[in-house]
Amino acid sequence: MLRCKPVDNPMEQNHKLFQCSSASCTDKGRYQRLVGKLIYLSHTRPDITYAVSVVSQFMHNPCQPHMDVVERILRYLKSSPGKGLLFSKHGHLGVDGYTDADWASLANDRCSTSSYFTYVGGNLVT
Amino acid sequence: MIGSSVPTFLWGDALSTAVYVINRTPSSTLFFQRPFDVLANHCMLPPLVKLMPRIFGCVTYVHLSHRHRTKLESRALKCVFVGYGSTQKGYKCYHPDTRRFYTSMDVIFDESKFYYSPTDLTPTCLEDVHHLANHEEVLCFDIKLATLPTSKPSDEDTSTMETPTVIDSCSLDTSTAIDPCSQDSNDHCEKSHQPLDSTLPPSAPVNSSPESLPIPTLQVQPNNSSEICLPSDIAHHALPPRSTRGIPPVKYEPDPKAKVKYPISNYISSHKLSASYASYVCKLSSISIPSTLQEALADSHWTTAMTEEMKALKKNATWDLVTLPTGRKTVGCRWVFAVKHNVDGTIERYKARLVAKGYTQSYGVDYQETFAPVAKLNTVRVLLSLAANKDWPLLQFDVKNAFLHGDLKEDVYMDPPPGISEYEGSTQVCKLRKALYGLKQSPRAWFGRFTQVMKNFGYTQSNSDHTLFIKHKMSKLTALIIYVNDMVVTGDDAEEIHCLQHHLASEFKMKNLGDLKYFLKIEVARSKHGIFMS
Repeated sequence: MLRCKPVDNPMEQNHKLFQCSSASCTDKGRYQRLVGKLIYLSHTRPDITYAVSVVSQFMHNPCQPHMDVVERILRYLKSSPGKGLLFSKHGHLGVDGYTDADWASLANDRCSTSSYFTYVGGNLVT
Repeated sequence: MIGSSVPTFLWGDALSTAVYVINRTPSSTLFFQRPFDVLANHCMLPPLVKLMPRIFGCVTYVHLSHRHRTKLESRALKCVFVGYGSTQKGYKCYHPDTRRFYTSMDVIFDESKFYYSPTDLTPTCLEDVHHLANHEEVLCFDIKLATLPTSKPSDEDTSTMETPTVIDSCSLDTSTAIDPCSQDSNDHCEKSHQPLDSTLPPSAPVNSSPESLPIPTLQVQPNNSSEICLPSDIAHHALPPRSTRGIPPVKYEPDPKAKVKYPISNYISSHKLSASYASYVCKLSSISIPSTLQEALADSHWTTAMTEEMKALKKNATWDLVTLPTGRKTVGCRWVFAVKHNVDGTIERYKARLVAKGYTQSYGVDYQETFAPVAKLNTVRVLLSLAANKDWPLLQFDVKNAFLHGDLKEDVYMDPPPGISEYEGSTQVCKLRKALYGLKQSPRAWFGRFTQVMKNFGYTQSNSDHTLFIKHKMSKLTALIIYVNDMVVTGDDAEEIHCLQHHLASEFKMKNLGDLKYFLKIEVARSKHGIFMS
């Protein structure tokens, strides 16, 4: 992984990931450890939050395609190390919320995906 | 080479075989490491293929696959062993009749026979030469020996003949130093020595006195050259000039990074770190931490750390010594050791901690509820955003031995701590009054105690995040958020913050870490422009 080629985005667009029916064929422990670390990292890296939320849906039964996505996130992180959240002074304490939803997007069960993010005082908090 | 009397155009193979064996033989100049292993430390090498060393020039039978033979043909080809495959895994064998080389693993060796047997030599000379060849092949004296056959072998020969027994024991000595994998060829060498000593008449050493010695070597040379050495053979093996000839392939380059397209060092490097931090990173891995009690008791650092921890536990009145009531079970305990570092990498202190084996507790008997809330990162971010917008200070405090402050509601009986002399041999057990690290209910007990203290001091617990405590006073606000034993305090009331710090210090053992730098291993940096979290 140390010699991998960096990429510019954490995930492919319009991915078609779904639960695999067969038994898990990849290293489950490694997958779960990696995703667990990525979840913690997404506290300060909101740019990977969506990709992490997608891969964490397959924690119980990961397959090779899911592992590839995780590795792509790692490659993305290689291209952009040292990023973080900046809380700057905007002079107000207004709360702004934004939300978006993707209706029936999951290939498996047609669940919808919704997302939100909130600014407090001009700074991203969730 | 001479001993096996192979034709001279196979000298190249003899040389590469000698180099192959030398590279896989422990060398005294490299502290009995194999040169191959030493090289592998510096650059990427193809995986080491384990092939049994064989005697150069001996008879081999190479198995032919179905495609290369018909039903009625023989299944194997009688060939000469000329070395080890450089590109393939296998033994390299030469078939003189068809002038073809075969590299195969499917080979049967007859090491007692050489393919080109010099029949016209006298038996004693032959034995001498065999002896010499064994020395040359098995002990791999030098590459020069192979390239200067006329001068060196005669030296070798004289010494061998003058004191045959001494050389034998010498070869034994050397063979003990040699890699065990070449042992069996050494055995073979010994075997061939045996017939030599037994078959030689007592007058044989006299026969091969130093004066007669140049004769056998001279005899061998014409024999050799007259046997098969044809000019066409040499021309056949002359390689066409190549542009890359003599240049080793890229994969053998000593710097493996040279061929990597995207080395990690392009993206992350440590040279921007300050010198002290770099040394800290280096030293982190250099100190060993004992994993068992016996290891720790052997070192005075750890025993003093253990006595200090015992003192702290006694001062805190963590337990009472009682006899175990019937029907109750004890919880085990053990020591855990750690090294605390200063920022510049020097050791701050050795730390020993007594932990209970919480996994031996049973629900309903030893513990009831275990849940304890921790701070949500969202709340932390909101606080940081507030602090950035309002220019509030951010202070960080740390509670020492946080869990030891928790009061236990349940009756928990614990084994006396191991390795402490005053408890050894006594039948009494410890009835815990305060929580201990490792118990299931410890975090809850600690958090309950902390909440109680904060409420007594006039703080209100937030309903959205139970780890957030807020106090309004004269339209000024102070907020505290706690994550197990790390707390962050912010607010615009400097006096109140000071008060809070004193109050907490009177209740618990506190450590003031100053401005917020690291929270849950997240680095927080502050400047005029804002707060950076990474």
